[in-house]
Amino acid sequence: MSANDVQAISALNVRVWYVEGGVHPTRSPSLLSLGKFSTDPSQAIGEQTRITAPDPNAFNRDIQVGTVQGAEERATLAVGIRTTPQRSLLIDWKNKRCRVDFYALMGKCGNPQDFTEGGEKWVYFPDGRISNHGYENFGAYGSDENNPTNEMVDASSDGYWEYLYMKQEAIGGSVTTREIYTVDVYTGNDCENCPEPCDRVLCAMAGASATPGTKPTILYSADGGETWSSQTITTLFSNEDVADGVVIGSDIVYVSNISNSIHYTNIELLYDSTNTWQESTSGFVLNKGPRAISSADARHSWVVGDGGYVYFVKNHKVGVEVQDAGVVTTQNLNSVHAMDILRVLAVGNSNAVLYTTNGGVSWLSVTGPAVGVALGACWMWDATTWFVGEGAGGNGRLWLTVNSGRTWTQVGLPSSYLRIDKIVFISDAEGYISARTGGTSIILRTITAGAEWVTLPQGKRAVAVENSYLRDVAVCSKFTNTAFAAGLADNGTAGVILKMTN
Amino acid sequence: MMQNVEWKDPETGRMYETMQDGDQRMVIGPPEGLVDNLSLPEPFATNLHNALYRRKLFTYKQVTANHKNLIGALQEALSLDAQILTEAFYNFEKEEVPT
Repeated sequence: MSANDVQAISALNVRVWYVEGGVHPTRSPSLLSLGKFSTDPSQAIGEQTRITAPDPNAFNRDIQVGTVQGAEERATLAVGIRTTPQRSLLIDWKNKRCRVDFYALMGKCGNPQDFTEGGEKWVYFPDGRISNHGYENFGAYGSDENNPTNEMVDASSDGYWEYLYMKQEAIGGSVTTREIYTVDVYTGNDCENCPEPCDRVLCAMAGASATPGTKPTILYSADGGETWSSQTITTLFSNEDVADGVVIGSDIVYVSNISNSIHYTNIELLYDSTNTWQESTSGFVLNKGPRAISSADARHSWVVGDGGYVYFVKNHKVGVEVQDAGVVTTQNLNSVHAMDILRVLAVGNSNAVLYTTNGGVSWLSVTGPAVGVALGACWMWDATTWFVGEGAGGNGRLWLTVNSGRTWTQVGLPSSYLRIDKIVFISDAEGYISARTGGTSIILRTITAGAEWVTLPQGKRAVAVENSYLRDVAVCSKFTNTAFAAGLADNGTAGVILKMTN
Repeated sequence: MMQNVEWKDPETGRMYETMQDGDQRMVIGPPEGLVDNLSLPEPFATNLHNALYRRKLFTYKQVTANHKNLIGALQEALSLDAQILTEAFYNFEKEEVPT
């Protein structure tokens, strides 16, 4: 792109959108009519302060032996509106003292009243809090003093970041010779020097059970999918599947329904080619094999599987322990999401919805949204607000509860689908869904906590990558506008990995 | 030498954990005839027996130590749980509504 192609944004290309109460699956953003950002947003992220020591080579001098990161502050901004005879929204915000999230919708030639597709870029200000309200030009002695009356609120937010249009491209075409079961991203560890969170992509590829058989393989990239390496998962047999995968600590951990076990290796050693694969079988019950895994942190993960079995994983290298032995339900469980170390949601066949709020000390069931339908995906957005997607044999509907499953409402999606394979959020606002239609999967994205969904890729000239289905989706950072999806290519035999980024 | 061996009664299809030494076999559990005392019809009696076997519920102590596991065994034996029963109610009432 040359400098002449760049269309710089000006102040009039920016519109203020807000969500009173903060982003939530039940609240869509609204345009702030006659409004603008009245003070430019900014955020101090903390200065580095020197850690010094006496200079060993000179008296009266010191040397820097390290730095201390200063405190990160909340972002500040202000929005203003022209005062009109109508009820003042800004005074309401001041008086209610509720959270108000803001979006700056930027565009040059779209429709500023179309939040999802009218602009070209969004800047999101989460957890907005009003700190001050004021008027401007509230009175005049005469016409010489007469000016438009305005009002404004000062606010702070928990930082801010951008959302951009997302394209879609197939990556790893030369190595994806068979179906890709899972895709995961290793975001790095704290000691790395400025790691790119989306660079290390890990995919589990199916084996081939024909004689003599090819074992399942891990495909891994260190550059966001530009180039790939592969390694056999030596602990799996050629006919054994990878039902799901997750990064726990610095390990990639796979569960296999057929082998009824966990398979894992260290990711950093994998990239050094010095790793070995290990298998944990301890704790798994015969014929109650795993189907999905979710991890809250390195010491709290959950595996769900056949017969309604729920396993707790304190240390994947040691094994699992049964937390619910098909007591709450005997249905096969297809998906699990651990929101934190206490709250976990799982769904399965025949409308089974299970949850715990005490780390699995007790599991409870609620009546799911679709009687008799297999549920295939779930996400615990907060303790009481859950997304559930219909799985194989269902009608591809996405359901939402805001009261821990007492009532359910269907979420509006851009089209109708056959089944939901995956639901994943990277922040409160940004999430992705893989939904199957007849013969292909579509990736949907929200930046409004699931209140509104758009089909990827975005943009008038964007073309979706053909596929048979996409069973897994991975995200890496709320700042990167990047997601990956994986599954079966449209020829029905090869695998496909999609990268969605701006 | 005595060995722990899984054994399936060829007549009843019931699974047992046994200690075996050559032709000698001693049942560890589930107790033989336990489910027959419950007056359950077949195949539920055998289903329950095998569910107890799979869950290693062999003694009173094991059963009382993990009561939930016992409920799981019952559900498994009957191939019935809250979800299936809910679905049955739903379908029954749907059929009753005149169109």
